Parts: sequence; C-alpha cells; structure tokens
Amino acid sequence: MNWGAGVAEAGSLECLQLGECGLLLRWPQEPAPQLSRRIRALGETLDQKPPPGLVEWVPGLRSFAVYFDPARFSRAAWVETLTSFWESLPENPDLPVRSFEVPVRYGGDDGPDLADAAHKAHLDPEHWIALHAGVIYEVLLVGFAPGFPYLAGLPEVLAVPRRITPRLRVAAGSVAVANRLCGIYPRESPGGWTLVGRTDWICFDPGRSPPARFAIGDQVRFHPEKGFR
Amino acid sequence: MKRSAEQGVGQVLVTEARGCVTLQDEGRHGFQRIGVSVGGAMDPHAAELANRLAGNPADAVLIELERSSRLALRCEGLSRLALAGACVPVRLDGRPVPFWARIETNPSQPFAIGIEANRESGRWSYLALSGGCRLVPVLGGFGTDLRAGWGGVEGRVLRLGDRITLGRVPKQSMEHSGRSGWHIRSQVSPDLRPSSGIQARVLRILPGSHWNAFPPEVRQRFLNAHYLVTPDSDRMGYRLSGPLLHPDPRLEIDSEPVTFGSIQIPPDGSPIVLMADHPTQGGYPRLAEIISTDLGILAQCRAGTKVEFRHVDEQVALMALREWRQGMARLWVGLGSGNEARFRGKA
Repeated sequence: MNWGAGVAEAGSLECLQLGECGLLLRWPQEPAPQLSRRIRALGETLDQKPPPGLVEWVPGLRSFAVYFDPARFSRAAWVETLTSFWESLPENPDLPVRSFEVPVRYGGDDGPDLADAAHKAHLDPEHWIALHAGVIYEVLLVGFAPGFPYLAGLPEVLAVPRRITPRLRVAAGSVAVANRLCGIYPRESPGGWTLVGRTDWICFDPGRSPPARFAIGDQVRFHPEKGFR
Repeated sequence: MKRSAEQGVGQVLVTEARGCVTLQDEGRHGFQRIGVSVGGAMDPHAAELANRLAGNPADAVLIELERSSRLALRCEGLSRLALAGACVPVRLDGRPVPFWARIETNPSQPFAIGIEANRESGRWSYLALSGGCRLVPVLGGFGTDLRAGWGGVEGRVLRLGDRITLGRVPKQSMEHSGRSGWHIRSQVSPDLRPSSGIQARVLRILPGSHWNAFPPEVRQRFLNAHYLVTPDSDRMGYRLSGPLLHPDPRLEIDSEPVTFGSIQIPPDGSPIVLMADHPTQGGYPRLAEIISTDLGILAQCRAGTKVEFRHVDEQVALMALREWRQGMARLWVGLGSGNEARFRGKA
C-alpha cells in the first residue's frame, strides 16, 4: 500500500486523495476484463455493506473512487475497509454473463474515419470491418458520458491513437476506436476517437431501470448491417 | 394565474427569463458509475445559505442565475425567500431586496420579483423560495443538466411562461406577522458570507492523484504564480491562464474518476478546474484538488479574476468543512427552524 499522492513504486496498489471527501485506489496493471470485473465486485460489496457516510463509488479503467463524508467515517477507516473488501474478493469474480449483438452501419457518413483507419492498418475497409466484427468485446467501464461503454478486445492490428484535435460534434450512436479500446457514443458530444460506424442502439435512457444498457463484464459483438459502403 | 387551492403551496410563473437561469440542488449522486454528472449549484455554499434562510433543507431546489441573466417572476402563496451569491439588483414589488437575509412575505398576497443582470462582482446568484421548487426527480436528482437535457424544467433554462410549484411549507412557518407586503426578518452574520473583494482569490488545494508525476519545480511554479480565469469557462470547467505546467512525459493515464475541484493539466499545459457539470472520467493528469470549502470562491470568479493556490494539509481542509457546517447549524438554530424533515420541497 502506497500512501503518497502520486506515483507509487512499481507494482503496488496506490491509495490517493481525491480532495478531503474522496479517495482513489489505482492498480498498477494494464486495464483488463479481469481487473474491471473485480472492481465492479468491489462496488457491489460497498452497496451491500455501505460504511457510514458513503456518498457514492465510481469505477475507473484501473482505479476506483469513493466519495464520502469525512466527519462520519475517516480516511484511515475507509482505506482499511476498502483494502479488506478488495482482498476478500476472488481474483476473477463470477458475474452474470450478458451478451449483446449490436448492429452497426460501417463507413460512409456513419463512420467517416473508416477508410483512414483501414489505410493505417494496411487493410481494405471490408477486411477491417470483418476483423472488427469478428471478435467478442467486454465492457471494462461505463462512464465519461452517460452510458458510454469502454470495450476491451479490439484486435491489435486495428488499434489507432486518439485524434490530435477532437471533433466538436460526434453523432449519437457512433461506434469508435481509440488505442486498444472501442466505444459507442450514447449521445451527440465532442469526441477524440476514430469513428468507424454507427448504431441505432440506445445506450442510455434515464427513464429506464437500469438507465445504462451496458454494465462492466457484458460481452458485446458488432454485427455489420447489410448495405454498408 | 390561477390561485392555488392547496394551502401552504406556492406557485410561481416566469414572466421574463434571459440567459442561464436554471433550477439546481445539491447534485445527482449515485449514477457517476454509469457516466452521469453530479451537477448541482456552482456555488454550493451560497445555495445552502439561501435555502437555510428561506427555511428550506440544504438540498431543496432553488433558482441559479449566471451573471448576465435576467429573471422576472410572479409568485403566489410565498411565505419566505432569500438571496445569496453574487449580489445583483433584485426588486420585490418594486422595492430593492437585500442579499443574505430572510425575507418574510405575506402568503395571501401575490408578489412580483425582478432580477437584473449583474454588473458588480461575482458570477452566480441564488434565489430560494419557501418550500423549494417541486420537481420530478431524474436519476435521483432535481438539478438541470443542460448537456444531458434532463432535470429542472425539461432539462433546459427557464423561459417565459414556465410554471413552478413550490413545496409544502409547515404551518408554523406560515405564521406571518399579518403585516402586508414583506419585511426583513434576520440577516446572516458577515463571517458566514463569502468575501467579495477584488483582490486575488486564494484557493486551498490538496495534492491531486498525479501530484508526484509533476517535477518539483513545476509544482513550485504552480504554487508561486497567479492564474487568470479565462472567458472560456462554464458550468463544466474553468480554464486558467498563467505559467504552463507539464508532467513527467513518461506518465501514462487511463480514464479515472474526477470530481468538482479537480485541477487537470491537458497537453497544452494550461490548467482546467473541473466544475459542477464535469464529466465523470478524466483522461488528463490531475495536479491538485481544490478543498470543498473553497469551490464557491472559484465559482464566483469572472473572466480576468486572479487566483492563486495554497497547498494545505488535509487537517486544514477538514477543519474548514467542520467550521462551515457549524456555522450553518448555528444559523439554523438562530432562525428557529428545527423541523427540517417537514420542509422537503420535493415531489
């Protein structure tokens, strides 16, 4: 356990301040499905046994935040509780397996960066799509915007860096890639990811329970819709 | 407008609204885990003070106005109101109303409230009405999220013709002196009001989650310099200009939870302070966190205001929070309103 506010010695779990009413745990490993599932299980443990003064918990790609009332339960008590919960969890917790098949219109106006992404991968667009739609992704995190899923599993050959200049407007339903991740923009917003297609799927509805379509651990497959360009 | 038959329930009609006028509360908690912003009042302390003065619980829904906004209301069944935050000219039935005071009004009379654009210092003003604004919750909160398009009135700014129902007010607080019109009942002691000078604002900070990834000389530069709030600042974040700050170039960042008061350093080196409507995850290094007691001080800074940062111990932050809460508790007792649970102005 590292108590400093910053870079830990390699390989240890860091425990950082997030203001006086927050705490951030950060794991040293790369983001991965197994870590995300265990992070989700940590949150669910807090839901079942909430310490006094818990405001809310928020997962990150390899981190986990709690916001709390420090007058009710001290930082030291929080650190002890969270580390003991974390250590009591299995390395690869069992989650209910949910699978989704998301229809996507690749390329054209729906995926304006597809040709460029294919060019960078030295593939023709059809081949790029076949690879992108040929694997099963897993949700690592839902966040940034309401319902936005961060998906792991993008084939390495398809990886592209983030755009240097983000777009001011990305259409709702855009399917996008950045580095080794894939995502779906739930609503129109600015964004720096490479846009390869679009879906009519609604990822978020505040009136529905639960409001987000995806949860950490869900399996997702993209299905190219007929008539793509 | 139709007189409300329900005793103790006020009605408000918007007769003019221009600019960023929204309904806000203490924020929407519990859904950041799926990407939903907390939102809520930009100056949480001013909002809490206004609510307390109006006899409402701290989390009642109230009206927030940005400095260039204008608002006119017609109210019925109103027993109290209070103003806090950036002082703007406000008239109640034509007479100027002071800020930081409990105003008692005769609930059997209709009132016209007019709020003009702010030419003085400050940025966000709060108007709390007795009972609070009664709304249907969205994702556990009531505040307007303009980007998401939910909360408040249809997820948008107030406009002409909007009607707002106020929450029920307990009987004892409806006991008006019988005087017609309105009068000032009590005023907040100056130590509870935020300072309103034009001198540089000092914001106290704790180290952020990437503090140690910034070289010591960069951290020193940040603490020694003045920064200016730029015009490119809104409910989501305040951009600052001043000496550039760059982390160790080897630092790798994965999206991480961020909060109101997180100071992020994007690749250009100019700090951005995340404000009430911040996204839930951040992908830039976090140099520091502003302590919660000082968030309102920054929120009230206009473009061109100088700010500086002081590194404090966590105990200082906890003490500041405790002092604020004790001040609020004294105010609450002083106003003689003990029965908080009965005030909940929510649907």
